[in-house]
Amino acid sequence: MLNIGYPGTQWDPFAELRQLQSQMNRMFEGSPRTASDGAWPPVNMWLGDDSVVVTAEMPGVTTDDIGLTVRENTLIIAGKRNPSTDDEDAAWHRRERPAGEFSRSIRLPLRVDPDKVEARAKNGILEIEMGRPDAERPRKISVKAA
Amino acid sequence: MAQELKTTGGDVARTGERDERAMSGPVYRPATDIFEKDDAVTLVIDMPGVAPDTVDVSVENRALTVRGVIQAPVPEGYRRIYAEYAPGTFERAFSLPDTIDADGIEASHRDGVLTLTLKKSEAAKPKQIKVKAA
Repeated sequence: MLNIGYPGTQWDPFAELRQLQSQMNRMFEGSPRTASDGAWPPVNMWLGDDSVVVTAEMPGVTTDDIGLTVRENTLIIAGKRNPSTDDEDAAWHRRERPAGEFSRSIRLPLRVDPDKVEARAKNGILEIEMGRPDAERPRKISVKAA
Repeated sequence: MAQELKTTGGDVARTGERDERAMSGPVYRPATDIFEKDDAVTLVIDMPGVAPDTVDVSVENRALTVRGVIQAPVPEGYRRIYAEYAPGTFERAFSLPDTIDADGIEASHRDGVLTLTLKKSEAAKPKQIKVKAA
């Protein structure tokens, strides 16, 4: 599971460390890039003022094959990856791309409003933008002069 | 068929490209499926984040090289708080056997997946030889 910093912290040293570690893992021979720790798809997370963005590397998965579930502070990305070919007569020389059903649950740093979710896909990257419920937005309170 | 030439992360010694490489970050080896059916060999290569018009496919001395720079723009007004993948370059090389026609390679890129279709050369296709009655 994800262990992320509090919203508002500027720097999460553990995120940096994990990123470094996954980069190191990827440098070694024989470890395909997307199978670093078994969790699929690999995600990045971005925090804004009143919203959070999750981007996921999902090559070859069309938007029709992706199901998103948002509940409070949890995002679930589920779907199915189709194999390169269904042809049983095809002879395989190399098979590295994972196929089959997947599901991943991601804890978000804030509660999000299911009505404020937007998802886009481009070049195999899925971007999910989620907004905070209006009632939980930090409000500015103006101070009146006496 | 289409054996892999380099199994390293793509750290090929080509000094001319050093500067460019440093700019685009680490080099990753993309996950690849290779299958053969009838007179065609198909390579399916995962390249998420690479735009179709920036994919580079080249053949030199029977070596097929694919390369693509990952474009990972930062969402505007956001800062990164967690990361499992990073920008960089996908690169992988395959050696083409003589049975493949190097001029007849077709490439397409969709949803971050590069598909190469390699045709077997005429000489390598299975031929039926008719036996004549004496």
